[in-house]
Amino acid sequence: MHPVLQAWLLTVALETPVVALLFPGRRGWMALVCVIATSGTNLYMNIGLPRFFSDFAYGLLLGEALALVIEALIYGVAARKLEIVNPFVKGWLASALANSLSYGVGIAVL
Amino acid sequence: MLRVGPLGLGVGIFMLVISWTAIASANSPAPQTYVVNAENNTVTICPMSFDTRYCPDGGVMLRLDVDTREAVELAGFCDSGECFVDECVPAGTYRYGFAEPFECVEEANTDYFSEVTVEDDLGDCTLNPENSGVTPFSGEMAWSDWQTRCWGHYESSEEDDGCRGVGMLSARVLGLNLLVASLALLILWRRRRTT
Repeated sequence: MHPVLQAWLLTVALETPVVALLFPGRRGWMALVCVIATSGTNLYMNIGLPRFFSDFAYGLLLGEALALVIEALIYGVAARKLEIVNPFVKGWLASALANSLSYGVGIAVL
Repeated sequence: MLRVGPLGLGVGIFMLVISWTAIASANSPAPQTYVVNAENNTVTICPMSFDTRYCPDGGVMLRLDVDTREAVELAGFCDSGECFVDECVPAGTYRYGFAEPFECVEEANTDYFSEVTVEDDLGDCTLNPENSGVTPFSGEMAWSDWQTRCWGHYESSEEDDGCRGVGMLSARVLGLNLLVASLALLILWRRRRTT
């Protein structure tokens, strides 16, 4: 399997349950939001960013930081629409925990 | 009192981490790379490495055309500074590096190649009589599309040729995520206490 596809599947598989668990009552919707948001950021990071950054370290660091910020904002906006209490703080928490897990497992197994 | 929203908090942390990265990197030695300069249609390639690979005995120096992906071998024509000299190079963007990349080191980045753009069209150009020119490279290209082969402070491993490059970098990525998660938990905890 192509490494980009592997990374994407692993990321979605790990991050979706984390995000769903953090938004009880709206788990299904937030899982769907997570799949869409994570797919976008992960594929952009692995396919798009290398075209602009020849330095692996800075490309990866910037990509991970952008993924954290973009996903947190998407979760926050989605959670507010779904009338969840403290939507943006929970969005930051969900994004940070999910990205920690997928990055940590990713470097260990890929 | 100034109120900082979630967006402001995120931008602040992002800026803090980026600036922290720049400070931390400033402590690292210069990378193992190639200093490449183009003057008219002549390109000079000076290897910078810890294993003292210079012109002409450092190894086979390659020129890869970024657009066509064609690679050629340089003849090993050197200047007085032990730098490779590539004459009569047509206009274009090229990557220069050894066919056998630098060995990774623990303290610094190690590059596969350095990139340069030659802007002048090739007019009448004559090679130095001691320069036999370039020949097509038929070997297997060992470079990745990333310039950096290994990032400094990598975690050494026999299995992956010691070039995994995830040591301090992983600490930074995970540190950023866990810092944000901790702050979010702290905010949630404080809000729960006040309500």
